[in-house]
Amino acid sequence: MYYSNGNYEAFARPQKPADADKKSAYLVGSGLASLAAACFMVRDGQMKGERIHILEELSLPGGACDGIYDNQKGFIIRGGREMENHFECLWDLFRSIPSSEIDGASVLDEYYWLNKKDPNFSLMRATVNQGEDAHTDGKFTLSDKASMEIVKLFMTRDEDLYDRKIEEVFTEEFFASNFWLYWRTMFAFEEWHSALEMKLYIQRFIHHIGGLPDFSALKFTQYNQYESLILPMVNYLEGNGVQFQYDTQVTNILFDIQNDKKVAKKIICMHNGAEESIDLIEDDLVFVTNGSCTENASLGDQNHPAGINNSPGGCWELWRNIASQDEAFGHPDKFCTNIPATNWESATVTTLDNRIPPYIEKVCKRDPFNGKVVSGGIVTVKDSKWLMSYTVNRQPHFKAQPKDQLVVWVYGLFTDVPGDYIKKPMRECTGIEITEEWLYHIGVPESEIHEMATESARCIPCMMPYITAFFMPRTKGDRPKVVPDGAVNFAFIGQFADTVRDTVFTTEYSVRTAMEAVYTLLDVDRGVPEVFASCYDVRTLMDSTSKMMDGKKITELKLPFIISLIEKGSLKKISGTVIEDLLKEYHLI
Amino acid sequence: MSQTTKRALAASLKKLLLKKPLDKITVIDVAADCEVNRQTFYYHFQDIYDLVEWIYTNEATKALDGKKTYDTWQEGFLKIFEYVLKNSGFVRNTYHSVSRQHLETYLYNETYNLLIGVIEEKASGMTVRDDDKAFIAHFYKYAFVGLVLEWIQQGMKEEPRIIIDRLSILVHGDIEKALEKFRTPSR
Repeated sequence: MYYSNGNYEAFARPQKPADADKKSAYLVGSGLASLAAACFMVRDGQMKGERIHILEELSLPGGACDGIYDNQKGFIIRGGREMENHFECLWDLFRSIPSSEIDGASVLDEYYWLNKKDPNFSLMRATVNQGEDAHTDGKFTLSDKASMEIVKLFMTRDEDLYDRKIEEVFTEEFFASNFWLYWRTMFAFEEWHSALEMKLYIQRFIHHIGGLPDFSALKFTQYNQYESLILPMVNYLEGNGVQFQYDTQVTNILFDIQNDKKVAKKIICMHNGAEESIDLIEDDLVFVTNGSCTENASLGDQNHPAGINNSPGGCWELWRNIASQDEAFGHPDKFCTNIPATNWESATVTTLDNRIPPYIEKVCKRDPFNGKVVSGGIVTVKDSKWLMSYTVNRQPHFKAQPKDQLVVWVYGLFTDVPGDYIKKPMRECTGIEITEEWLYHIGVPESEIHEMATESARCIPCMMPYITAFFMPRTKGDRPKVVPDGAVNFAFIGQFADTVRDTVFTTEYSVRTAMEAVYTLLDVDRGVPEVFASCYDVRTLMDSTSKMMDGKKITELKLPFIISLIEKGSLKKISGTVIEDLLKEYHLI
Repeated sequence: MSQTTKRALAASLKKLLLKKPLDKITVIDVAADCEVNRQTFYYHFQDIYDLVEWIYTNEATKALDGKKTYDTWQEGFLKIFEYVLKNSGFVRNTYHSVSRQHLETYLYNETYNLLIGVIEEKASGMTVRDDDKAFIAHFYKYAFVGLVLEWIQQGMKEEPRIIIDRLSILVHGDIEKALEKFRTPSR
């Protein structure tokens, strides 16, 4: 496996790997990473689909990539995926997956055309005082000191950030900025999360800094991701003969570990209440999704809170059983033993009549029924104790959604403190109470809140104990490498496998780890696209610097090193050079 | 079950084929012989024909055992006959089934590997284009495999050694001659 960039590799098709016909594959879990790995094995590995077995604990595929209609509860979205144009591995995959919506088009075509015709941007990024514009006005409001802290983090080596928290690398002025408000609410970072992951995010998305405040950096699917991404992949895989086996919980994988050689020998699983095992030879490839952000997610309903499920999660137990066999298989407890630090709660609110939509329209400044972008990303309630944000995606968000209903996704970063209207922590709230708190914050008069929450909406709360588990501070070796050193026939994929430069909590990370795993184990001879290299592009750095400073010139900054540059006449020295041209083009001087 | 399941299932199928034709053997028969349940079979193979294909693909290149030099090609070819004899129930059955193509692919690949090894050895020090070498190997491959298929169809009765000795007399020196004809004149 090697990294590449550019069209030469992007448009090329690999030759069939020499041993492809000898291989079988077993994928533990059917989330985006597993499905992507299966697609790469079919498309690039040119393996027979019938030799690829997907073992899933639940009775449906998709993992965290959801969107489901439940007969009793109604529409449920635990979360939604924000995507961008430089998800290099993901688009490399979806260019080959046929769209379910448009004959003859790929999922990429469909997505590209949709986001060209109806680009995403927000007209109301944050509110205060029950639905009034918080007037963040696209500004980052970073002080000189806070800016320097970002620059310093950007320049810090990974190893110097091991096990360090965000609050250890930033000070109060930074946390008071709009930058942090945008950042923590759109990515769900908290002060106690990993400073390393925060740095990787800044580097990974540096080309989108200008599009952060109004979300013009983001792109979204037509419907929820289960219908827009997962189902087309499942159709593609089933069409190629790939075997899906549901209700099969893998509980352990046994390895034969010699000095320099590690071989997966046996998969142990529970199927129909009985323990079964699958013997493996070296030509049998195993792909394990270790860890899950939606493990133990629990649902409430209108009259019941979701409640926290503290039971040992199956996926963590599996990872623990694997990790106990070799130091190279990671440290799951680093991520899954601090629910207070890794949970938050979401809720799907479905509006049932015409009483709530006018309030949505007032905040979003768009007709929510127009079929196009509505909120254009999340709206954050800046003065909410729960730190509530909500989003109204293009409607309908489900193909089966009635024309006169809206599906709204609400989430609170702090689930353990009382709200502003409902004086209870979010995690103790019923669906009706969460809707009430939300209605209060979008400006519904208090006298109408209860009736509207009860009669005009249905709300399904969803508590996710491990939703930000991958953001916990970590050090080298806490996540297993995608293909550990010496591994012959197995790989780790998904959000808790380790690869360089890319960022977790993205759909891209799932697809990237899958692509790297398949290309390594099958020896597919084609480059895996590297993480978009914008953090090494001086133009991007200048542009993002100017935008982060809300358009100020560097000469206006009162920073010691800038002042010394001016005093030493450095600006004169660059006069008439390309450097001066660039600095001017990006509004820095 | 002393070996891994895939190999055990392969052994069971070969064993059963000594008694019954391929199209009469079910997944249940193989699983029962192997002392595993049906589900275990399906963890590894989609159906019996998938197992047949797997056997041929995974046994490829094992038979030759390195016997693919000019001095040993007869030994190599004999190994292919021996593989067929050793697995006669399995081979005869696939010959007379929809899986025949997997048998043929197996034989063609093995024989090609044998011949191209010999050709490369004889061509050392000569300038002959790779596609010309491959053409020679393919040409003789069809003759060789044709003899094997004919032999299988007639019940594998004739002594392979006799066929190979006759073949040896017939093609003696042919590969050098063929290479000579394709030799690129040096400038």
